[in-house]
Amino acid sequence: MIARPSRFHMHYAWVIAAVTFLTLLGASGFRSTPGVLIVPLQDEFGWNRAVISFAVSINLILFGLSGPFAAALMARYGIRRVIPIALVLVAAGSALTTVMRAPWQLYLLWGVVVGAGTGTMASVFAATVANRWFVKHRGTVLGVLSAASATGQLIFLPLLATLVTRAGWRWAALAVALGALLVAPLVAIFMRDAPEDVGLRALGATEDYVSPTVSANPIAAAFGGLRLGLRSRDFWFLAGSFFICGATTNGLIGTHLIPASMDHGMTEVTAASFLAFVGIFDIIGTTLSGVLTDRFDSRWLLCWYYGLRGLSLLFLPFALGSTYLTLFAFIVFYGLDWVATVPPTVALTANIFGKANVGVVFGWVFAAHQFGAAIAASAAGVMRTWLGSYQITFLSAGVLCLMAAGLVIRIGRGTHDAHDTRGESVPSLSLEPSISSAD
Amino acid sequence: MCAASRSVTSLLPRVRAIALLGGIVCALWLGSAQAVSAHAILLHTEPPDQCTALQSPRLPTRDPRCDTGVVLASPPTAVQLWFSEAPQPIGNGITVTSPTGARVATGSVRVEGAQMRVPVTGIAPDATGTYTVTWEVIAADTHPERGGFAFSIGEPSVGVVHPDRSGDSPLTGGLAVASIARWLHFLGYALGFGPLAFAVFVLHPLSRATRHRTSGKDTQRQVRRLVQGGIALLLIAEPSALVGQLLSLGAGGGSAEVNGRFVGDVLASSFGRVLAQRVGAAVLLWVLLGVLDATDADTSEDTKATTETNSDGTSIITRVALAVGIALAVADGEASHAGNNGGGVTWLGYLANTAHVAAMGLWLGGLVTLIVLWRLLDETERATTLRRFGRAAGGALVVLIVSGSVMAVLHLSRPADLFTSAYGRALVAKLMLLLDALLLAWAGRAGWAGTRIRRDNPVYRMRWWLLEGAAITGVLIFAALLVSLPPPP
Repeated sequence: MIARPSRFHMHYAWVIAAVTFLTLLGASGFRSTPGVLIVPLQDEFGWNRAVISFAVSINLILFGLSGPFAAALMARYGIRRVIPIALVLVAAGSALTTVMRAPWQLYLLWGVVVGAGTGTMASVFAATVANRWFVKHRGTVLGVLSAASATGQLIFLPLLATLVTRAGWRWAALAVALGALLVAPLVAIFMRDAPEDVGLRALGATEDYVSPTVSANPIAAAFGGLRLGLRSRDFWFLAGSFFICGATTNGLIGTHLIPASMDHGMTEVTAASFLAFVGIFDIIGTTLSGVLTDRFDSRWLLCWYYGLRGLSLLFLPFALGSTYLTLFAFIVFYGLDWVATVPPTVALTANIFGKANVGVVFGWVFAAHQFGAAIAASAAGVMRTWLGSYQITFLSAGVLCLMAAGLVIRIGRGTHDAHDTRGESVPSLSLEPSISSAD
Repeated sequence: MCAASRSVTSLLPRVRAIALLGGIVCALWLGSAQAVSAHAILLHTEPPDQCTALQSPRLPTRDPRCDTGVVLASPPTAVQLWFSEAPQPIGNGITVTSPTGARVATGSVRVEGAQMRVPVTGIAPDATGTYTVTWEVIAADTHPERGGFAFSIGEPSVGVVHPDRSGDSPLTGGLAVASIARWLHFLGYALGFGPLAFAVFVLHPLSRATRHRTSGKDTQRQVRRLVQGGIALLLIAEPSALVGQLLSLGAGGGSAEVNGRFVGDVLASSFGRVLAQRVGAAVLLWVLLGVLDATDADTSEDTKATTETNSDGTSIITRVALAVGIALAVADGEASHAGNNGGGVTWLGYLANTAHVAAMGLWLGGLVTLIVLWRLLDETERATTLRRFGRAAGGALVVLIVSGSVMAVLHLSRPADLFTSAYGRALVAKLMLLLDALLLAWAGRAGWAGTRIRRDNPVYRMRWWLLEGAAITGVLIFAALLVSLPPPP
């Protein structure tokens, strides 16, 4: 009733999409900060990489696991209340790090507070907005929001790295807090929970369109999906390969490429710029992968993606030791492959478990992704502290990717047919799978 | 004439595809291989070690002065070692121990070029007695080296025993484990890639020639089972190689912390890199095996007709797998002595080593495949298979002899090394066993061409083949020992 949409000659759904875009871009940017903080924190407090990486691991796990709970909260209290609170949490968590003294404070602030806060503004948020507000253009909106989420966490890195170098890491942390505080009022003012709140129907909806509602207790639905998945061999293959995907993107490269490049004498800003390029090539790669998923067998695509990623990781220790050009070749290649694995994995999940279950089953596959990321972030830190180099970590990650390639090509070839599970149904969250999930 | 040119034309695209893929993979692998020059040989030390092989003037090995070393007037400020190439320190790198057993070199080891240096602190200016130095490094060709010497200040201690002497390579537990690991690796290589080569070079032309393949699916299943066994062997071999490497460097003797440091240093060295490449190649073969299965499933969904043939011989995937096999042979060169020749013809060493390993895989892997598939083939198929495999094995043998001779020339500086060094003796033993295998191969062939009774008796033939296979496996034991031993300087 507040905003009369006809006056703007534009459906209010686009305003919602814009605000959501901004929030997702910011949220993923806030999440990415630990990558540029590892070396400065090490220098100031003398904490080793294992200690700092553990905070990143907590952050990654909470980011992955808070999805179902965030969905429940948004269903109960509404987007308009939940998201600003999450933003204030992020701001508080980030700002308080400037006065921290002990590692447990880093775990609590960067790990728990920022992790849970940004996790609320991730895939589930994007999917909820797209589902409630759009019937027409739903796929496109979801695609753009996904790009915001995956790329946001990489493109701010050069800016943050410059702040760290010029003004000190505390200013970078304060910049994150300020950013979150600026977005919060925008969300509070412009966000609406559903089109009905402003007397509208979802964009492109017809008269008889019934807007999607949460049909069951989301927590029960989540565990129903897990039960369904655990009985299937293919679920283990999917979750296993996605675990490796998370380990080799967010966990290893996202967290440790900057410190590893600095080990080889690169400046922090240059290293952060390289990672930002990963984000830019990621947009191209993910779009292409979506197109390819419509045309080819997803198993073959994934086999290629993981196989090539594995080979490029086996090549990385040599790239780091040589010229920038070789490292840039790695960046282009890795960027194209960054979340390109998501569309085929979603498609495979939908094929195997049916449209009704894909959202919730994919949620668990995505949880495996974040567990992989968390374990890799910590393990790489421990290995660096122990060995003094990243060589064996990058090489093992390469071998793991090759294993993932071997796993995905064997999906759906098992003795008991995966099609059995298609008929079964669990209470659905009626969430479309979101390709933003694997940022 | 016309038929010949047609078959050549039809072969060309395939040859080109293999050549291209092999070229790309090799280029990538070689590009990633850093300059591998030689075993790290200790050339010179400060304080001087009078008993290393290359020291001049050199004391006889059993000279009592080797136990106490040179006598210095005052404590040295540092211990420095010069190697023939850049060494990678393992564990403490250099340990200097005082007459009372305390460590006196506690600073960090610095490597500059081929020089390794540690500052010596904690020796009182008026201290006397014999100090021992021990060092452990990994060379660029992944081989572990350790050694030691002594020096005395003021006056030598009484009753000291000389530490490990560099250049000596006794048959230690580490060497034994390393050799067994390498032997398993070679067997895995032969089983992993040989059967696929067999499918391409022997079975595939065969199925075109005979046009009826009732046993296609069965032979394919057997070939893939062999490949799986090969992958398993490769994956067992690599962790064993790590254990061997650690034992060679003397890990296991110290505290948990020291041993952890050993594992870390070894993994972070050139050895760790080659280990990862080898495991990567084995896993890649496993991926390609899955891809072969997936291709079958997809083809049989499309057309029911093709399901009965053995498609491994025609599939591009098999060729990619063979290219991986070549790449693995190149990686093996990094961990043997391929680049290890003073003359600077590194590429020749690599080429010879790669050809040697690949030809071995073709011969042994092909022979095992032949034995396994024999009962599945009918009489005409058997005759053609034998003829084709005989040709392939003959080719492999020529390659083995040529590349083996090249490597021998590169590694041995003089013919006498054949009998005086452990390396040379292992090489001679290997050659004897190879002759044995050839004799058995000839006997098996003669049995086939011999009297009618013998020819019709499959047990007779099979016995010779099994013996031939056993002999080649024996040759591999010596090959494994060879690549684990340092070649004579």
